[in-house]
Amino acid sequence: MQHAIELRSRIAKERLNPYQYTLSLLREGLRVGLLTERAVRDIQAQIMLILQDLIVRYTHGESTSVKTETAESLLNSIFYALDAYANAADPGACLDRLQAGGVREAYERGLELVIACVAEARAIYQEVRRNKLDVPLEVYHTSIDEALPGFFLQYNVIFQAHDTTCMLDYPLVFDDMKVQGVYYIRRYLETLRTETEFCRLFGSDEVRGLLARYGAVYRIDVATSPVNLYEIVLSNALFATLVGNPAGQLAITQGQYERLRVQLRSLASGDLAVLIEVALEEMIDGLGLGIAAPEVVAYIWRTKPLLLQRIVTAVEHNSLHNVAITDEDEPVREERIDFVSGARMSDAEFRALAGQVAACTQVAEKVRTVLEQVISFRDFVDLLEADCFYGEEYLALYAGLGELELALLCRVVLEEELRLAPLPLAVWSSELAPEREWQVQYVVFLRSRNAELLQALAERVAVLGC
Amino acid sequence: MALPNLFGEMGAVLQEMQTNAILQTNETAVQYGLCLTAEEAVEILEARNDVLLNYGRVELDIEVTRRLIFTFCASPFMDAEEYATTLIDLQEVFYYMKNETEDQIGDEELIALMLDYFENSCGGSVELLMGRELDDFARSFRRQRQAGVWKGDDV
Repeated sequence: MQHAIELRSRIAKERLNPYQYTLSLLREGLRVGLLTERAVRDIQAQIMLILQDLIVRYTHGESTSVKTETAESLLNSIFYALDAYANAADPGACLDRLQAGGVREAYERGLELVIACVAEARAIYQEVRRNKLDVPLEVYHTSIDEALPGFFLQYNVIFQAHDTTCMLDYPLVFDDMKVQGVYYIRRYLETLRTETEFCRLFGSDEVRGLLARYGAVYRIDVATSPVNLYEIVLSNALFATLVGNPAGQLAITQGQYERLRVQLRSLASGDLAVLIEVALEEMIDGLGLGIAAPEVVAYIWRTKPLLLQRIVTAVEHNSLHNVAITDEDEPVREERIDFVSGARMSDAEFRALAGQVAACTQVAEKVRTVLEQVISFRDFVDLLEADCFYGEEYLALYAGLGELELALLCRVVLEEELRLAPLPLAVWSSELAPEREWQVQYVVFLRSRNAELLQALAERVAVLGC
Repeated sequence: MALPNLFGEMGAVLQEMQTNAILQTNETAVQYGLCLTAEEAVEILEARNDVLLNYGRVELDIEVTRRLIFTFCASPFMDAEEYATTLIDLQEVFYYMKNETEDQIGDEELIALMLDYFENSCGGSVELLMGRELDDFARSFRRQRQAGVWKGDDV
C-alpha cells in the first residue's frame, strides 16, 4: 500500500497531455511502475471490446466491419469519454480502476460527464442568446444564431463525442482550439458570455459608434469582418479612463487623444505598465464590476498583458491612433521626425546608424530605429539611399511618417512632376521614372493612399512651396 | 490516433484465439467433407488481415469469416482441395463488396447474395463472382442509390 502511494506520487502531472489525457496517463503509469506492460495490454483489450460494441451499434447490428476512418473516429469518441472521466478523477485512482478491469465503467462514467457537459453548454447558450448584443457584426450573429444551434443539432455523444464540426467564425480573445467536442463549445460559450457581459456595460449607441470608427481607421467593412468586439471595447474603455472620462464612456476626443499620446510617449515602459494597471483598476471600479462579476474582472486581468503589449508597441511606433479610436473621422498623422536644419550626423555616426538599421531583423525594429534617431532630413534621405531597407520595407517606413516628412519627400521624388501638375495627378504621371528603389517604393506608397490623404498631402506640399 | 500503432502488441494472443475460432468451424464443415488445418486457418486469418488493410477496413472479430465458412461449406460447389483457397477469395470478395456498396448492405444480406450468385449464375466460380456478377451488382446498386430507389429509401 505504501509502495503504491509512493508510486502514485511519482506521477508527473506536467507529463500528462490535457488533449490526450488517458493515453498520456497510461504512458505515465507505465513509466513510474504503477502499470505493467501486461496491464496496459489488458486495458487496451477492454477498449477494443468497447470499440467492437460501438461498431455494431454504429452499423445498427448489420455489420462487424467499418472503414478505417470510421473506426478511428469511434475510437477517438471512446477516448473522449475516457478523458472526461480521467480528468475528473485522481490520476492514481483512475489507473487503479482501469487496471482492475473497470475500463467500461470508466467509459460509461465519462459518457455521463460528457452528456452533463452538453446540458451545461445548452444552458449557457440560451443565456448568450438572450443577452446577444445589438451590433452590426455578421460573424457574431451567424455564430450565435446558426453555427451553435447547428452544433447541438448534429452532436453525437456516442459516435462522435470528439467532433467540433461547427463554423464558429466569431473570434474570441482567448480560444484554445486544441480542445475538442462539447468541452470546446462549453468553453467558447463561457468566454463569449463573459466578453458579452463586459460589452453590455456600455450603451449600444456607444458600442456601435466605436465599431464604425474602428472600421474607418482600419479601412475595413467591420460588419463582415471577423473582429473581436470585446477587445475593441476594452481598449477604448481603458483609454477613456486614462483621459479622465466617466465610466461607461467609450468615446475620446481628438484633443484628449493628443494629450494622452504626449503623456504616454514620455513614460518609460515600466511606468507605462503601472499606469495601465491603475487605469484598469479604476475602470473596473467605475463600472461597478468588483464582486458582482468576478469572471469578467478575471478576464479583464487576463487580457491585460495583450493590451499592454499593443499599447507599448503603438507608443513606440507612434501609431497609438490605431489603438485608441477617437471620435474624429480621420486619424491624425502626427509628425514623426522633428527635422532640425543643420543638425546632421557625422560620417561615423551615420555609418554606425546605417549599420544598426541594416542589422535589424524585423522591419518594425528598423522603422523604430530610424524614427528615433534621425533628426535631419538630409540624413534621412541619405539613409534611404544607403539601401538599409528592401522592397516593401520602405512602405512600412513611409507608413510611419507624418505629413511633413511625406511632403518633403514629395518635393524630392516628384520634383519635375509637381511643376506640371498638382500632387494627386503628379503621382500617376506617365513620365514618372524613379531611379532608386526608395523612390520607386515611395511612388507605390503614394499610389496606395486614398484621395483625401493625397489632397491633404498636396496642401502640405503647397505650403512648403515647390 | 492510429489503430495499428495503438494496438500492435496484441497480435500474438489474438491470433491464437482467432485461429481456434476458425478451427471450431470444422465441427460443422466436416459433415460436408471439408476441413481446415491449423496452417490453413492461419493463412485465412493472415489473408483476411491483408484484405482489411488493403481495403481500408477495420474488424475486431472474425464473425464474417466464420459466417462465410458456415454458409459456404454447405454449398455443393465447395471442393475439399480448394476449400482454404476459396474461403480466402470469398473473404476478399466480401470486403470488396462492402466498400463498393458503401456499407449500405448488411453482412448477412451480402453473404446471402454472394451464395446466391455463386451457386446460380457463377456455377461455383469465385472469379465470375468477383469479376462479373458482383461488379454488375455494385454498379447497379450505386445507380439505384443515386436515383434514390434502393430499398429503404423514400420514393
